[in-house]
Amino acid sequence: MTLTEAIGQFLYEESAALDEARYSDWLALLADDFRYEVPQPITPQSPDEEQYSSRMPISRESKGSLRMRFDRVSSEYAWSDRPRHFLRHFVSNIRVRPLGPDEWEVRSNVLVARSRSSEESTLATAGRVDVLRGDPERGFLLAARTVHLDVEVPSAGQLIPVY
Amino acid sequence: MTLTEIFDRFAPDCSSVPQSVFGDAAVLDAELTRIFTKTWLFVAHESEVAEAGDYVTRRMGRDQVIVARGEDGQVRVMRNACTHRGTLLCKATLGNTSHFMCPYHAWTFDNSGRLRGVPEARPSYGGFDKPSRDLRRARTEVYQGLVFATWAEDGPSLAESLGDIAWYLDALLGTATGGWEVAGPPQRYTIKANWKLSCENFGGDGYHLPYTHRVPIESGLFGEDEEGGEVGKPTGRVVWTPQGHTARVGYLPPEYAEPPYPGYPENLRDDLAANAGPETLSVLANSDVVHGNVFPNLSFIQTAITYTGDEAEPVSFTVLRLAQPVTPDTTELYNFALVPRGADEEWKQKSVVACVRTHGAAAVLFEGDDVDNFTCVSVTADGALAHDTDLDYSLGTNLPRPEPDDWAGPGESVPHDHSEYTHRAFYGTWLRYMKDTKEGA
Ligand code: FES
Ligand SMILES: [Fe+2]
Repeated sequence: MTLTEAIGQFLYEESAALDEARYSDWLALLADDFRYEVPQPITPQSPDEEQYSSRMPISRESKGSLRMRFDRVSSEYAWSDRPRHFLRHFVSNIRVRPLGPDEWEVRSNVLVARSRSSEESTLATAGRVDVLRGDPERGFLLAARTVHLDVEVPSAGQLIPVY
Repeated sequence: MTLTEIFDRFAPDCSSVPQSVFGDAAVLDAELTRIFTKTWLFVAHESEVAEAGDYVTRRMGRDQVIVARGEDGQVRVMRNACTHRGTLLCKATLGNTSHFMCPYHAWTFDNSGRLRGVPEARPSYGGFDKPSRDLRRARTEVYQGLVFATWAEDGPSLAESLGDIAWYLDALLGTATGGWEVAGPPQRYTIKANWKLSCENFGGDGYHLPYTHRVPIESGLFGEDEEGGEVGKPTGRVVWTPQGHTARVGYLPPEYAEPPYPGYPENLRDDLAANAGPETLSVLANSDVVHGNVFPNLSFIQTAITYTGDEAEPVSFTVLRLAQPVTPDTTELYNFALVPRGADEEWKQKSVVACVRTHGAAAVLFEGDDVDNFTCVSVTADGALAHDTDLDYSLGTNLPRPEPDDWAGPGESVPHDHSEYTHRAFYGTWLRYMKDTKEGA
């Protein structure tokens, strides 16, 4: 298996854990200093300018805050998470670049479908920039993820999933 | 059902509200003309257009506008529609420019809205009267850094329209030396719910807190109860004004005796308190949250959050929430995080994180459950039975008003945290505008 294939397998398993609501499996794939960020998409005047702003991001989470988020799902009063959502990630266009001896920048594209009870499903596409630590033998940990949404004004439904 | 039939269903004190106000397309159409072209509407924070030429594009109701700082330093709000044949002039969200050129036939307007250039004007238009083709400008005024605009050409000033809610805005935004600024461009997202549901909730719904937000409260978002949990209950005061503005001031159990402005670094907290008058300090003493709604659609909250998954430390944040109607069951929400200009970068980032994780667009810990409720209210307003259903807004009508009342804040108020006084005040004003069919604007 090549490095890119091994990283691809890791990302598929990682998103499957989210889709299948195996939250403790998912949290176990995160480095302790994991950072999750969704910058605010903006439309500046010139096509050369930055399309995302991190000054007031849509999300800025840590492993601790994500653990809190998923711990709450088991409570009867986690209104927005109950009943459970249908969720499916499609991961593609994986590109790997070394950052250090055991550290990789992994870029990928995702399509994420979500729905709950009889709601219409919301689709969203995004580009992801991940930092992975490890190697194909020992396995990988996800150390950082930045999500570039492909929509300036997302719907609340598109903001529910972790990308 | 006609609009008059809907209005007639309201209880005189608005303790019951017809469900049609959330789902009926004719209601939204009337709101857009009778409320959104008549009242002062929040459009931007001054710091978003700090330099000459800076602009942001926004909406007032469903009307597109540009908020721009002209070369003369003045902030103006003008319709984002070419006066030739109506093309949207500016498609960007934000930028800096001295002129806006229409993509269709290149009519060009300066950033004060004046028409400056028309291709082939002389040969083809003859005696063309350019000033009559300037962009339509809304009256614009700024209060505590908040830029408001109205299409009403005459009528009350912004200060008159704000009335006593201005005192509460002063308490939140008027005491930092150096003022406040936006942390960054606002979050924007759409929800499948009527715009009023966000406003009436932010306006003073203390009743939902222990139930909707049971999980985050129990997981220590606002700090843990003292050992043994032998503390009193949180309390609150709800406030309203004749203009339909509302607020709620939430208090910690009395044993906390927390001084005003919790969740700021020491030097900043001292500064905020030093610039606050004695009435403000008395109203904010032991308070951990102030939120409210400036009629019609600008909500605000300032609160300190203790725990969002990292180390526990009370951090205050301030967010403005704008609810723009799109359809009866679709609303575009904006969250503007405000930070004191004088705070250091590191603290500003902490404040942003506290806001983003609890009251942001993707904040599952708090906001997600509110949006879920708003959506669930709107979805039942869609059926035929909604037309002859009235919703219950009577909470607290039987509770006595304290006499005498030594509360130092202006406006009408009661110490009944779990009540719907603010909702009734909102709908009272709503009804007054909706019944007024005078042409105007
Ligand atoms: S529509 Fe703008 S120039 Fe013609
Ligand atoms: Fe809430």
